Amino acid sequence: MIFFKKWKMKNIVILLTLVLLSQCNPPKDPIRIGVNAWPPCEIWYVAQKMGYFGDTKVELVRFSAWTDNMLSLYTGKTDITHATYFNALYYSQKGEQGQIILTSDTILGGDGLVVKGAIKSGADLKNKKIAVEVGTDEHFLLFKTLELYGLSVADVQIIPSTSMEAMNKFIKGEVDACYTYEPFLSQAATEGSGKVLSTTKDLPGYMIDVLVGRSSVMQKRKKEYQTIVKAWYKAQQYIREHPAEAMAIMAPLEKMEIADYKGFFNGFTFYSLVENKELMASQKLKSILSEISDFIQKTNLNPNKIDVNSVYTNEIIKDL
Amino acid sequence: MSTAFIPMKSLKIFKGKQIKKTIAFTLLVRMALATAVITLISMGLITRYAESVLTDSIKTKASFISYSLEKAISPLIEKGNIDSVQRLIENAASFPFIKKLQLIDTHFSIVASNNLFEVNELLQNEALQDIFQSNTNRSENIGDHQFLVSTPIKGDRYIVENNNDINWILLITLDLNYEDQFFVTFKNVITLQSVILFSVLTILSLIIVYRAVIIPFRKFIIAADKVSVGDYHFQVEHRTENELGRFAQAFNIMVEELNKREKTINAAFSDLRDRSARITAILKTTADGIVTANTAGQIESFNPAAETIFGYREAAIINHDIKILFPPALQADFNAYLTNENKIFKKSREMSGQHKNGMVFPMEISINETELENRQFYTLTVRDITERKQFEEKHQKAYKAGMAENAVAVLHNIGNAITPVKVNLNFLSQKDGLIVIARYLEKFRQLLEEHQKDNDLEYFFNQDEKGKQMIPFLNQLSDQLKEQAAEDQKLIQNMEIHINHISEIISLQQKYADFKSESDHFQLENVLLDAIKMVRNSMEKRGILLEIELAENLPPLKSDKNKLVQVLLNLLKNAIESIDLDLQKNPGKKPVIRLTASLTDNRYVQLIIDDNGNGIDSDHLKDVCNFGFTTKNRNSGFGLHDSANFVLANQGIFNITSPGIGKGARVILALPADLEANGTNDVSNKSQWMVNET
Repeated sequence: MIFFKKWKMKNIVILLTLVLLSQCNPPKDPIRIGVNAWPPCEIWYVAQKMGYFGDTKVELVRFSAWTDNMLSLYTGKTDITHATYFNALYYSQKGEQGQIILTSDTILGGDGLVVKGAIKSGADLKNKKIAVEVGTDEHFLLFKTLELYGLSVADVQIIPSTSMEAMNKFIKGEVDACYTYEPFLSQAATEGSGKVLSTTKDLPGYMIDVLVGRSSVMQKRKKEYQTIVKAWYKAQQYIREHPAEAMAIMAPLEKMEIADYKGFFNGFTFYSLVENKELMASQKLKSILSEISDFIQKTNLNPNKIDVNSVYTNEIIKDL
Repeated sequence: MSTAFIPMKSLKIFKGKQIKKTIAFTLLVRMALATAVITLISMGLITRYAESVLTDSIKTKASFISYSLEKAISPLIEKGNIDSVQRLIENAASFPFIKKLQLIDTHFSIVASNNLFEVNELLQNEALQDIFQSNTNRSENIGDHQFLVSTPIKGDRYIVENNNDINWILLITLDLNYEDQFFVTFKNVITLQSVILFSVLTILSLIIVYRAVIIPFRKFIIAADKVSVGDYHFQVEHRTENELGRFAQAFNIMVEELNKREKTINAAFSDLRDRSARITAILKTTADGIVTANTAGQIESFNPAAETIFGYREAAIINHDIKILFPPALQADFNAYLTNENKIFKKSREMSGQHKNGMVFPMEISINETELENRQFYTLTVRDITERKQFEEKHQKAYKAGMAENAVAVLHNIGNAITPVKVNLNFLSQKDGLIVIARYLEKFRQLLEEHQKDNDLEYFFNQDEKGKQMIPFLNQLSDQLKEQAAEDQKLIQNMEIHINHISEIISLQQKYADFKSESDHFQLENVLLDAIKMVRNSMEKRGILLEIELAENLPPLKSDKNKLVQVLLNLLKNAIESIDLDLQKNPGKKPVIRLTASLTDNRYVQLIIDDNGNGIDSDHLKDVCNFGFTTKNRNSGFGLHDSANFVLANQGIFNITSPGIGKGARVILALPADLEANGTNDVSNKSQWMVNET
């Protein structure tokens, strides 16, 4: 009681309240961004190095395979991932809900069909073995490419593989063609004595990279997501303004020479915030998404109809 | 007592210091403190328990992960499918709670890692060597929120250096931040729940305490505040019989008692104030000068009358020596009074005072020694009697003049009565018949003596001519003497009547000349007739017709009979004088005085004196009763004033009216009847006295 008398009651209450409050701030989980060996993904490392995330804790979780990366998001292990329109739709009902928050970039010719020298035209593909990573963009792009040649998926023999395996199988001669992306595309053509029959240059507007956010986390941590998107653009600005430093950061991550990486990186087109807002508001996005969605349903990749409106949101960028 | 209850909701504190620390506040603080302490203790206990549970859980989780991965990785490695191992590790490590996942070979090279960039790097660690040699699992907290599990993975070949078939080690670094976060969140939830729980308990307790204790207490505070400002017209409402109810009862009783006391005090104070105001008013308005002085003789108060009497203003004379109010010759006396034990001035007495202007004047003074609040002081009551002295002098003169008038009137009556006696005496004195007879008889005696000497008496009577006529002469003389005697007898009788009348007047005058003022029971009729007798001659002389109408059985009067006679004499004399004045103008007029006595208002015996004399000018009517007013040169002007004063002093009515000059006057005199001594009567029998002309 002497202690209480010496200390004013008010002071004790304030002290105890402070003690309680100090324990009430749990360390927040970092926002986990799943990345792969893909130039746009390396931009995050620039942002991280330059401190553009600020107070927002960000952890980059690197995967060898896109599938693992995206599945991590839909299994709730990561919070943002790089995907494409196709993946965003394909995984939208596979677990956690993810939504496109940004159309990030595209590279024309980044994906393509490599065929053996015997195949002279698209029509020659009929009944040929084509390795492709089923349930990915490549699968859809192959479908669209075959459409260009008047063929359907049923007219060819699909050999399911990862994109890298597809390349390997093509090089080994196990398949007649493979639909894969760079750098496997060029490697396949070079080492497998093949030629690139078609690339996404023939299918503009379909192979677009996007950032997908985990909806449940976005709702709670919108500000942090916005900080991350801002960091994305700040890093791009840094890359434009300090290409040498930026490339020196990014190229080693891809295990490429800076010059090679630079050429590769410059092949990408990045979408600005304004373009994103316009795209989100336009019918074009919805139209492409609907087309991909129909493919997914038709190919039984997902027999259920996907509501394309639920697959993207302008919630993060609209206030930026 | 009008009673008001303190309303439950009017809790404004309106007097005294504002309550800085309310009971509710103190209670709130203490309960908050208790909540905080209990929460902290609870959190400490829960934390310890949760920590042990979580540690076990982590170990179990790590054990499961290592076991699963070991089983998954072993065949992949054996098949040389390192890419799949890498993907497996990446995927497994993509769980947030896994910080690192590394596969180390016997060369301490990282074969696969969730961090692709460190693949093929070397990892030197003594612990790894030990694991390779001892082939044991390890799990340990390596700090920085990390928990390391090292799991040996069997290979398909025997390694000589290690003396066993352990070819790889799987290092799993668990991120304990996840547990920490859970832990903090868990603690927060517990804390929040504790706070909510205790807050609810606190609020409930406060509500209970507020309703049960604080509201009643606030009512007491308001009540006490009201009491402190002197408002006792309310009671503290109480419904319960608990301690507060008992307290409220006691409080209400206290307030009632205070109210009663206040009323008593107020009444006493009001009375005191009234008295004080009255005393002040009296002091201010009284004609008597009142001066107070301390024992040293210094003036302490001086009322307005004293200011007027002495000419000093109170402010100017305060603290002056009181002797200043007396002429120098008397100052020594007064000083002696103040110092002497023999207080000679206790009774009112006359002595001289001295005005500021130096003028010495007579005053009546009394000095009282008073003690108030253990302090002695003197009170001097002073009255300037200059006017009174003058008045008394004047009054004495007037009184003497009035008395003289009365004496004149009485003497006049006596004179009137004496006149016929004088006439008779003159008449008698002028009679010479007996002297003639005496002369005749002398001559006759001489004749007889001569004839006797001559001895011829016989001859004389028989022979002589003169002698022969003697006998018839004596007979005639005898008859004449008889006649003379009868006539004288008659005169003497008449004189006797008048002398008796004089005697009667003198007797009456003596009867009423006694100035002793004393109250007596008497009948108006008696006094009135006595007065009439005294002036009867005056009326008879003027041939005044006196009409008297007296009600029968009039109640007696209780008054100064002597004084009333003087009043009536005075009024009758005035009436006669008025008639005299009128007769000079109207010689042929028949003068009448009418006296009517009756009972009025059942309580006054009223006498109306009407005369048809000269009357009174209407301009003079209002002044006739004023002291010294008269229209007659030889009168004092005292009579009517004195009469009116007498009647009014006896609570009677005195009124004089007149239609005007030449129209007579009426005096109404009414005195209170002594009803206790007699009953009331109606006016009835009329009697009328005629006074014949002389």
